[in-house]
Amino acid sequence: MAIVSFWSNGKGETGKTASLVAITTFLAIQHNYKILILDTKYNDYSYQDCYWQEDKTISLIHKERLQANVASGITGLAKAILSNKTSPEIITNYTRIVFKDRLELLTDTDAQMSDYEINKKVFKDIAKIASKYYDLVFIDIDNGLGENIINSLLEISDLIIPSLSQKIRVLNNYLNEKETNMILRDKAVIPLLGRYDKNSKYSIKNVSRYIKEREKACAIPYNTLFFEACNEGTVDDFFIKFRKINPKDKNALFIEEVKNTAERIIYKLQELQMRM
Amino acid sequence: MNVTNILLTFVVLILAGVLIRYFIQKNKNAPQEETIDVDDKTYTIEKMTEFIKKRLDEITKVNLYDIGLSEEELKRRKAKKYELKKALKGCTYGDVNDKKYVKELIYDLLFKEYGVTEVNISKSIPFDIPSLLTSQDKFDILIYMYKKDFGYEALTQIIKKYNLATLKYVAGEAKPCYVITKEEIDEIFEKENLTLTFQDKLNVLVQRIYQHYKGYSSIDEIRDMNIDGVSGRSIWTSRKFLKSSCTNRWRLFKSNYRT
Repeated sequence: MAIVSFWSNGKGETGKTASLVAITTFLAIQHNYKILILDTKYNDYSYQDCYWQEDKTISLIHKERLQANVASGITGLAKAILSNKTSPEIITNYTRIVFKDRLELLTDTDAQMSDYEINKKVFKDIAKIASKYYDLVFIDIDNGLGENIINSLLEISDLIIPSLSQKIRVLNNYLNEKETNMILRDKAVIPLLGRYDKNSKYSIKNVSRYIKEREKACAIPYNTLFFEACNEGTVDDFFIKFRKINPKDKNALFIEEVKNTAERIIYKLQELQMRM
Repeated sequence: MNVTNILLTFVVLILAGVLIRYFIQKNKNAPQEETIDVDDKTYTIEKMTEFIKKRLDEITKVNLYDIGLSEEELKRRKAKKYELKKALKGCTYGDVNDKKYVKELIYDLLFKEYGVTEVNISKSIPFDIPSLLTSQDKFDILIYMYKKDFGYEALTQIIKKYNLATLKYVAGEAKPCYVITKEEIDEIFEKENLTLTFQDKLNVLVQRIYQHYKGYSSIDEIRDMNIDGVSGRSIWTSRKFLKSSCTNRWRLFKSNYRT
């Protein structure tokens, strides 16, 4: 139904993927939404590392048989879409499930560069088709996609989440981009501070003021347990474990901020829907 | 329980242990992957077509219940298998989308599994030595390159650009006729001086394999073009002086043009 794009301007560790993983996993557990994450990076293992540990048994025993299949992931889907097989239900055949009927991931880990070049052209179509089947489509926009493709993805988005960090250079870059890029001015935007450190002078309030945002920005704080879970493929367990958390717990701030951000996104989308 | 029973139990247990170990060892030593034996004929079109037929058959007939997939994964695999089966059926009726889908799969199989590379692709079609290319090879390359730029208008563009829609006298024919000759194709190919990338070469090869396996042979690409139609008939019925096995193919271009 709605497309939400996570985008960051230029290089710099903004924690975009980690923030997206935290928000989508939280939403999938707490709300009854059908969510798809569309990863636009080339052969990216970050999502796989977040949700799964490599299953060596399967890869040894059934490697040969599993190969007896048409291409999977984004590459397979791109081929199907380019062959005009564009029913929304088809997308689910190429995704990996995190939570059944709740959270699915569309990514590629073994694509050829030539395939990726073709995939780039169909990201927009994939997102559009997926939005007919899923309640929420989250796009992780890679900086290397090229201006045209990035802009086309931002254009179809209902909500843009610019991923920022507490670095002055990143904030300045965002300010410049905001002034020059019309899409950022026209679309609904919620700036998000990734790997947030609450003790820094670049607090949510100060940053929001600096980047001239009327509403306060959101933040996903740095959390050791969460970032460890992102490496060990246990993000889903992490959120299930902290579903009900004691406010005095040291992880409470992280969960609280993820909750606030997720709810802000949902509220904003509902607001946009009301306006339409 | 007496001593004999205990001893027998031990013997049975030891035997079972030895057997289990033997089977595990046997499975460990079993070859993991079936490698493709490479010889002089490996990269010929015939061998590759054979491989594609075998692989597509395997993909569509694989028993998914044997693989030990999860319920959800099994559902997805079944859906994809059904999609491929549908495409394999649809492409024989000339569905261009199904054709595209099947060709993509053939491309992947040749590139990722069969190991077709820049070096060995020339063993199937001699792309690097134009003098060895047959007229059909040249026409396939020409139509592929034009299709990249003009889509389904490719044939029309070739005919227009080289003014091929004119009446010509051909040896052995008393009356002039509309025809595109072998010599014309050779000449056009020389004039075009095309540079093909590996992807282009592989796509031409894929089309050749496809048209013999699932497509409409030499007219497969032509019939997809924006032309009035293609018709074929045995010359035996109309001109009995020609060999009975000879089949004539008519390409209807702008209603009155036949080649």
